[in-house]
Amino acid sequence: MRSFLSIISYVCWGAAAGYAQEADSVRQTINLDEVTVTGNTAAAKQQRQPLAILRMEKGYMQENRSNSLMNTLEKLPGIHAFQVGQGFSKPVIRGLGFNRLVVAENGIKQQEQQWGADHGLEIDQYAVEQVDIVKGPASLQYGSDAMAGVVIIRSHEWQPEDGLSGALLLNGNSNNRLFGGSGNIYFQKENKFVQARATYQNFESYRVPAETFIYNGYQYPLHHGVLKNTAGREVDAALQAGWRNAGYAATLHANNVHSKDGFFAGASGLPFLVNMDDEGHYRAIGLPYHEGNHFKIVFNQIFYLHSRHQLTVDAGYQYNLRQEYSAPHTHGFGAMPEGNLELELRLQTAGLNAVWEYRNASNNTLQAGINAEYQHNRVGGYLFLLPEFEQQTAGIFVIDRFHFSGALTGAAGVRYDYGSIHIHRYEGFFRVSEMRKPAGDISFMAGLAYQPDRQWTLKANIGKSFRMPIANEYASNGISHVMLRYEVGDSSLHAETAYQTDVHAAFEQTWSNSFIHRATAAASVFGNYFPNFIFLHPTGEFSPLPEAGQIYRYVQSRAFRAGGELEAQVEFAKIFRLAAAAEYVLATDLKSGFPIAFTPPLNITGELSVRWKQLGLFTNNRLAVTYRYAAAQNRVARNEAATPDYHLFDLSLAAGIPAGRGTNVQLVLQVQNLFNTAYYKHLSFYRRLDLPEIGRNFLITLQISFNN
Amino acid sequence: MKKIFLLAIILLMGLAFSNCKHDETDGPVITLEEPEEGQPFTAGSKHGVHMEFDLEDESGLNQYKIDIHYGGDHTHSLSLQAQPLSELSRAQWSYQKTYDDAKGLKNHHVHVHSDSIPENATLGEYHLGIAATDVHGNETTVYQKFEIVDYEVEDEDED
Repeated sequence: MRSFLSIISYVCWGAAAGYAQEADSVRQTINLDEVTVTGNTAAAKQQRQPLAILRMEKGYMQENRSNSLMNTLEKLPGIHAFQVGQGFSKPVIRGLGFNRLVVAENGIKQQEQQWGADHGLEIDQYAVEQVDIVKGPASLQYGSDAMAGVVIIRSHEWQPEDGLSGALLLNGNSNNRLFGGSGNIYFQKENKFVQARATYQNFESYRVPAETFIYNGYQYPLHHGVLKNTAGREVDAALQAGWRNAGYAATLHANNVHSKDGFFAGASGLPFLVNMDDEGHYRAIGLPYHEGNHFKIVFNQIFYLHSRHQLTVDAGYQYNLRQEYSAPHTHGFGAMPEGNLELELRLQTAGLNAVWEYRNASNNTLQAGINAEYQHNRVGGYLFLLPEFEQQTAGIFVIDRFHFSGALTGAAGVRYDYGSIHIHRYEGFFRVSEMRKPAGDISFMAGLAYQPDRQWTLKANIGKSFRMPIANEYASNGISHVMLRYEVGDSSLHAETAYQTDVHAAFEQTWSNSFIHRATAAASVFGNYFPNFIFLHPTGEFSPLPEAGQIYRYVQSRAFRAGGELEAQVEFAKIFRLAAAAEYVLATDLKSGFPIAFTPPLNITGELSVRWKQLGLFTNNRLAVTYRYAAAQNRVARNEAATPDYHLFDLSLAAGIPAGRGTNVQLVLQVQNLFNTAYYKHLSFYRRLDLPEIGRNFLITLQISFNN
Repeated sequence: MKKIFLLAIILLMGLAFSNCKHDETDGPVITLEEPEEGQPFTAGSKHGVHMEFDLEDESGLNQYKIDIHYGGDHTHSLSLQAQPLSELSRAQWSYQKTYDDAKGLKNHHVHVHSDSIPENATLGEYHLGIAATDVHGNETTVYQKFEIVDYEVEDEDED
């Protein structure tokens, strides 16, 4: 399954190399995919793949750890985190996210992040060993939803040597008084391993650099700068077991992620002064809040059928239970319902992926595979947003990779998807009529990678992707809690199609015995045309609910998206590294000429880091200063607020502390938002309430790991 | 290859700047005449809250909506439904209504009264929000604070 990446991908070493080289992990001896083959040989190999991949390994994650997984990754060019406060975040690649992007953990597509804005990525960030991000259409392998890209998450597996190992990580943040920890224990003997992990996290409401905020012309107080009721908790557990022999390898993963997060007291309905009172309990979670539980079981198998053939089979089952609690009368209509359960979602998903791979003597590779998924959704609560439904989808694909000559590599593939959804009737204050919607279409992709010499790499891709509308686009009818917006689906929507192209050029030069010993530069440009892009558009009609504003309806329009990333990096004086990156996305609704909502602005990042092998007692030390600039976003959709620009500085210090044999101790200190800057993030849901983002935050992480 | 790359950039830049065909982006202009800031209305008034405002939009108005809710600043902390003991018999009053009579017009003068204000309406500051949309869905809202005062207090809200 994941080996597709090696077929239509390359590692964007410009930015990733630094991180990857800094990684402490030694890759597994057995791999379900070529991408994770050890070290730089894989890198060289992937230089010849046509599509862009960024890779972050454990070392990068440890040194840049933020409150949530996507906040940790959002410094990367082209990658953003869509967020609500500190508890939730989810990925956005080149301005697209949700159901246009796939997150796959251990080969199985993660459910729920495709839904509304306040549905985060329910993944234990401490259990993540490695993340690969494919920027660009990856629909062929990952299913039609992966039109914007894929975030591929792998957990800790096979080690090079048998034995017992483990790690304990403790961390704390100053801003929201977070304390947490994660521990894992791993045992491997001959051809088997078992592993267990537990994670706990608890944080207070976070603080912003403001004493008041202005919303709808009124000024509201933020006592002590605290965003009241943004506290949260998380408890996660995971178990894994693996076994293998010459012709077969299997891994079983079971994990549960449970979280409870408050929504800012002003986020439900209009902010009232009384909701803003300082009650002094910053760790308490009051109404409105959400509680989510994500249980997932995944079984990965690989059959080595022959030296040239292998079959990979990934099967998974997930159960998402999500409940939102809110005091009923904040949307005051009709009879007062009993209890505070506003919305409940019970989503079950079963998925299966099977990929057969054949490699011939001249190293051309042919892959053929199928994906199938079944979903079953039930809802509860006194409000209604998303209907009950059952959905089945299936896809079949073929991908071929071929070498024309030493310098030129090509890849091409085609896929057909078919799916249908049965949406149930709902009759209450809101109405949804029963519908059955089938959809099917072809996706394809072709790309070239050209590497004339050791310095230059050039790539180009073209492709077509499509995706079926999902249940909320067809049939939502109700208020989106956090958006304060009444959203209505449209049963007549057609499947969305995208024609996509990207071009990439990279340069790398190394020098020995010189002040500058390595320099890299890379540029990527992409363009997408959507004949029928689906998005929410204001109707001009007011919602029947008070405080819900006007009705937004899902519509389709011609859309054009383009942009790119520039990256450069210089390593000098043996220990210094200077890296800079810039990214821009332009998204336009061609019918009206208006920009598309939630498009990230121009972003520029710079980082200067110093790395010492030995400094006094400490080993593997790293000090980094990071600068982030986001330009103002004035290209906004109708009724969307423009966002001013901001500058942010972060500091990070990592040091290894000597300990006994087989024991490693690492300490990481970070300061995020060093100057306590008040800034707004265009992709944050609290932007709508004119709330600034989190203020200065000191983070400390201590990790102790052992093996024997 | 490099030429294609350059060409692609130029093409994309061209597209980027040729797409600035904005049809109208501004929402309706709402000019509120009454109530004035802090204007008192009496609990129990049969006339309700008297409102006068002008709506204006070049591309044509669609709907407007009036939303009156309690905006009091006295403290009660427990839950959103809690009331101070002394005011248990009072209830926060609210009024919401959407109007269609401006549809398609470029200018519209509105003179409207809310429902009557209940005698037991919680006293204090109230917020009035007037939202209007045009045919494109552009939305504007204006806000005003006014007071609901006790029955015994001198009647000032006659119009």
